[in-house]
Amino acid sequence: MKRVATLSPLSQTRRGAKQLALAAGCALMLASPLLWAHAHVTETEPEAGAILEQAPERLELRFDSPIRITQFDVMGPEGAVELSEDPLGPLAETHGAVPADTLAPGEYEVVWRGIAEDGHTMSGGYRFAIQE
Amino acid sequence: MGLTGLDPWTAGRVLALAGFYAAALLAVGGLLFRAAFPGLSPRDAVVLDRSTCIAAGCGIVMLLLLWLLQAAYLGGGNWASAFNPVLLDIVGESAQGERLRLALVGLVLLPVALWQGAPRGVRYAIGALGVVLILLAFSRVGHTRGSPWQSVLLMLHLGLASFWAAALPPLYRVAGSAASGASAEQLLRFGRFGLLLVPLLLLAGGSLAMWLMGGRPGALLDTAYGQLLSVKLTLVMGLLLLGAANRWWLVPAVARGKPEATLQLRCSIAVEASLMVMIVLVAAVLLTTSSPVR
Repeated sequence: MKRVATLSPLSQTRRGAKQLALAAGCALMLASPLLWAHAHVTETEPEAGAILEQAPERLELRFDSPIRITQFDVMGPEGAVELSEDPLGPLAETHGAVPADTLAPGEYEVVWRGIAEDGHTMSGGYRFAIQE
Repeated sequence: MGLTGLDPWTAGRVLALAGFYAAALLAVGGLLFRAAFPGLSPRDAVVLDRSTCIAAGCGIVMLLLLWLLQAAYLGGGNWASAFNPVLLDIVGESAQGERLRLALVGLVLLPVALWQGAPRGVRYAIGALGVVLILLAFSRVGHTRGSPWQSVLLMLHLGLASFWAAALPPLYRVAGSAASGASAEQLLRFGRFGLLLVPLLLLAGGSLAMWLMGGRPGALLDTAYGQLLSVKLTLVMGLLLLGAANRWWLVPAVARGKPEATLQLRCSIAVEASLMVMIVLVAAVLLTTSSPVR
């Protein structure tokens, strides 16, 4: 109690100013952990939004760091597309899937989920179309 | 902003992660506070020990729930996936699994460290090991993974934040009986700790922030992820202002026996706790939802 009572107004003001100055940095500190903490899709095959003249033989996802894919669903005009080879498996930057049959003309949507090397779970999707 | 498009499974993971963060930090902070404040009254010490054990238990429950929810999410968002052994294995083998194991062992050790039947040296050693394991667990997921120096900074930051968070309930109780000299001394003692705690928080957090943002603070404004982060910063600013008000105005006023100061201090501590809950929730959203594609 004595210690507080003997503080001069000037030193109290100084300490207050120091506290406020520290606040800005402290705010940054609490914000810090995770700004860029995820893997990102760098490319898809076919490209998102592409309109193709021929059915692709292979679907592919590329990331900027390794990720483990846990779900890879392709929906088309005839419902869920069966895959003869799917990308579920170990950590990798590139994951490919091969449709069991040639894809029929129409619109397709690819939906995926996975877990990155740093433990972050991720999801995404893209669409493409095959012309008649 | 990051909150848009939160499906129920993601919302569940956010809440479970926030629950784990809050519980684990309260458990760690409770132990640290107990060590730093040996002069607590026997009743306050018992309440604090009990709270620490409950927090550790809640942390374990939240960790296991999070494990199930992560598997459910990775399988497309359904309960069948939550109990799918392959998906549970995938989570267990990932960085999240490492966090789970480390935190689990640490959270089990904390109540052991509070058991009065063991020699003091053994309790201190077990407590220190538990605290380090839990703080290390936090650093195993996210950008700090694989960066020893940044992991140390994050552990320091979380350790200090946990001390602050866990101090609020006992200080709230102490503030209610601050008419006694011993209680007022506890409040002043925490204020003195703050003079060390805040600069260290600044050092650890500022360094991490500079490193993680790659020297581009503008990311706080021009990305959806950064905007959510800015919400968190605003809450932190409020927290620091309240802490400063307590340190320099309300606690000295309570120590001088000013009648209305006790209620004001308790209100201020309650608001501080509310802000901390919101900060943890925002942090959990940031940790769970994907960041924007660069």
